[in-house]
Amino acid sequence: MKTILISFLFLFLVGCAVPVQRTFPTAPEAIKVSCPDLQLIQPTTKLSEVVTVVTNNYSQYQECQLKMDAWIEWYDKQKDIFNSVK
Amino acid sequence: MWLFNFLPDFISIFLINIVLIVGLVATFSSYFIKYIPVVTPYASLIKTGGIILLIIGAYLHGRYDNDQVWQDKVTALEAKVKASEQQSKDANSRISDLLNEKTKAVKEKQIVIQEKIKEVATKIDSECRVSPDVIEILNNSARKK
Repeated sequence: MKTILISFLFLFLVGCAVPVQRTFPTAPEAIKVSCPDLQLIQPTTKLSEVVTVVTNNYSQYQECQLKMDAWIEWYDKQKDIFNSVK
Repeated sequence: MWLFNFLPDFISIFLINIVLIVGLVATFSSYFIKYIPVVTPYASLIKTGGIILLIIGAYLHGRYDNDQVWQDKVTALEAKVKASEQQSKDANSRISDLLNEKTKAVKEKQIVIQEKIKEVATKIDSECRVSPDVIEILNNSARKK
């Protein structure tokens, strides 16, 4: 009888609850690359060489701008997706 | 979480139903049992035991149903999380593709500009001589510190 009672009480023991796990979204590898430093102009008197470096830097800036825009878009999308799960 | 939850569903509900049915049968039979002389002395014991079992059975059944409701909610939420993870991956893929496409366009434009500079290099170099001060100013503005 004692054993039966103890066994029955054992069924009422409280354990731990398992919550639903959510993982932090990963960002695309392409936007996780840091922007390189701007190119410096080597000593020269030729304007064409100066303009070449300057335009390269403009191009580099535009690539960084695209990455920045992609980060903003990634954040907004992930936030929307995260908030849609309730 | 109850330890009952660790038992397979069919065993839990079977045990709960047994307790409930035994409780019901014992409670109702206790009203008629007094007409059977052999078990008459146990009538009150059967009645008390039946009521206790009925209460425990009803409680456990309610608890089981409540757990089922929460389990269903968890399952639904897990499905939503899984769908959102897929949406997240799709969004990443779309962003990557768009970034690659735009970066490619920037690089192509840069190639065209470099070609143009090469075409006019002789002309602009003959017309303008860059002072070292200009290079220093530009380099200083390009440096981080």
